[in-house]
Amino acid sequence: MNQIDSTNLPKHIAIIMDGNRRWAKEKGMPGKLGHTEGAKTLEIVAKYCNKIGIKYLTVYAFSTENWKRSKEEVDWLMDLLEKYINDFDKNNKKDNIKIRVIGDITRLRPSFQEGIKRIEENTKNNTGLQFNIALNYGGRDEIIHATKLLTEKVQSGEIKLEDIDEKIFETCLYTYDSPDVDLMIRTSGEIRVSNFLPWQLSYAEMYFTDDYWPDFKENELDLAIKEYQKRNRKFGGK
Amino acid sequence: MIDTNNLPNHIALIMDGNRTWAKNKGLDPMKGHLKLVIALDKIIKHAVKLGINEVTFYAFSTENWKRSKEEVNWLMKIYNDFISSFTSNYSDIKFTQLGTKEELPEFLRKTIIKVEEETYNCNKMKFNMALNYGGRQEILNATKNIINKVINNEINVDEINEQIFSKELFTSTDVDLMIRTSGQIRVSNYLPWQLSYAEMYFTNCYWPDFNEDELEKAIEEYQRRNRKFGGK
Repeated sequence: MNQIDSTNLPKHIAIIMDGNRRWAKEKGMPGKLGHTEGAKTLEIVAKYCNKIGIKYLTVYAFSTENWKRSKEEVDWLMDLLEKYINDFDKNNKKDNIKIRVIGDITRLRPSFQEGIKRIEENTKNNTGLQFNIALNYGGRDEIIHATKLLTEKVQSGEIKLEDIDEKIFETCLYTYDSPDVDLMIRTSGEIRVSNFLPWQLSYAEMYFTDDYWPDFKENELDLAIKEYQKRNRKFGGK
Repeated sequence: MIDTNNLPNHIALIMDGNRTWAKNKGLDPMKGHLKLVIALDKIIKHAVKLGINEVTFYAFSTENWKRSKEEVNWLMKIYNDFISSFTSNYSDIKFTQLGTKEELPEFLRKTIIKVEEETYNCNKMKFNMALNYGGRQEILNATKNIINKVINNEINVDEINEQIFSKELFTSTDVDLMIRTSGQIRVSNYLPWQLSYAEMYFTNCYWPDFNEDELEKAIEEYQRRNRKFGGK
């Protein structure tokens, strides 16, 4: 049994859910079925985070760079994610999870955008896990978006240029209502962050595992949290 | 064996573990910082030899001011010595400080300005020293510079894009390979924008022990990686 210390949980966990296609290939299945399995794993992990008392979970579902993939794969992912969001309410009625989608959703199909607004509205008063799903998200795009927002606020007189500090900048990020990430997990062995939460990951402990995403369940999350609890966080000080 | 056709264009290093290295040898942790510069020198020379175009070293972060006055003063002195002998030790390397100058002691500020001017047109390699550097501060400064440009009608809000933004940073060159020594697996507010697609390499080796072989090991690992940039 992996005993985690419930008094030292990471408040905010971010996950790069990598390896769906390789998982499928190894099993002799088409890559897109790996994504289908990955969605099931996501549901398990979100529920588990909620159960053990994690306050914020942010997952990298689709990046601004993923549009480069084949039309077939992109469509498959979009269908999968739209269904996941639409069914979430039904599958998680008693879980008290609050859903937010972070990223530029204006590029998604209208039905998907409506589904997102609906689930955000339906779960906005939930007080359990806040579950941020990064969709058409890019860290650099998020920073540009924040810059443009701040420019408009200065031009309209809402704020003064010299008053802009890190706190004010953060209110213009897609993650304005989430704290800094404490633990970032990336599955499937790649050791990079792929334009995910550059601002928010500044002091996160990072955990890289060779497990493919579809295989990353409760046990694997416990291992990551145990590792986090062993780390010595100094934030630049002594 | 390193493939000279696939070298990382920009390598960023976090020189961690100096104090732990010294403690493990029963030395005063401050002695570790002296070794920092010896290792730094080895790596600079080897990077030049290999033909790396740009290297960035994390010397002192905006959070490091929290350390003891003794340690901070010691580091400022060591860096001043290193930077004032920069042009006699290295030829044709462009020195740039990444970070703000105002908070630095005047003697160090003057040394940096002098060496930046002297090496402005050097072009064998770019050497960046992240000194009084903070990634969030860098992004904030860039944002404010851009807002200023919009207010002064130099650019339109709709023209703001990633290229324009990166030009306002201390360095706009993306990092290909980031190396952190001493076993900590985090980036500590280092180059958040520039590291977006960097391959990261974490080694338990303490910085004073990081030598030419260790650098080549890191580059070999980089060359084995499969970089996809979000695509196929």
